Amino acid sequence: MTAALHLMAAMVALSGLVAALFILLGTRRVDVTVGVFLDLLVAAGLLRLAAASTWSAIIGAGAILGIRQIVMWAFRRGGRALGGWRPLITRHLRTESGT
Amino acid sequence: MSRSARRAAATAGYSAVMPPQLADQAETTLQQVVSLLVIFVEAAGALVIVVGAVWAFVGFVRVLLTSRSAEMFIPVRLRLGRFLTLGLEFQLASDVLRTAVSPSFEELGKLAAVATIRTALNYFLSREIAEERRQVAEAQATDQQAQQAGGTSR
Repeated sequence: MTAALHLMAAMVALSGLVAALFILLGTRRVDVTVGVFLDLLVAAGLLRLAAASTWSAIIGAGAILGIRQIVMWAFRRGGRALGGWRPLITRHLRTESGT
Repeated sequence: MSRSARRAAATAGYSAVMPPQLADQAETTLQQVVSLLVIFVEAAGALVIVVGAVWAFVGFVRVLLTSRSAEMFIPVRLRLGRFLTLGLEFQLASDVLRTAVSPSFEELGKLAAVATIRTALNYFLSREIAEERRQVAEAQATDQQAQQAGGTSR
């Protein structure tokens, strides 16, 4: 069962890479691409963890989870900052042009 | 304390209420049953995660082929998140079962680390699912309001 789980983990990670590549080419949105890639990478990490609970697998899964949280938090914060600033910039430009 | 020594001590403890041979046999049977259950539950969790990953991959390809809107990926990601959460529940159950027959402190430490990772991921995924569901509901409500406003102005 361990070998099958390792194989499935590798295939899920590969599918994440392929899906991310096509999504990047199709949408040109980095946040969506990274989100999809990290989601499928987390699935692969969980399968690897189910296959063998070695310290390297545990640290690897923890690292992927940590990176995923930091990246998703950064994207959310970046989006919110843009959403917060955009109305102010628009208002400033309207005042400048007198419309 | 070695595994055999601990087992001998446990058997000695059981011998107060049942014969030593019977206690030894009962402990061996319990370990075998729990090990079998752990394999089944762990396999069920892995199966759920694999099915979710395949489903999500097919969903991503379908969205790419039909519409390339970034918002259309959200429901697929939500579904993958639900599958991962369900798979994690199974894997956490197997962790709990495994603690019943863990022989050493190192294995208990590994189980604690794995359970911490799985619990944290479960928490974050549940939070993300709730957040994205709220955003989708808000977007739908805004669309409905815009449609109603358009209908009344005509």
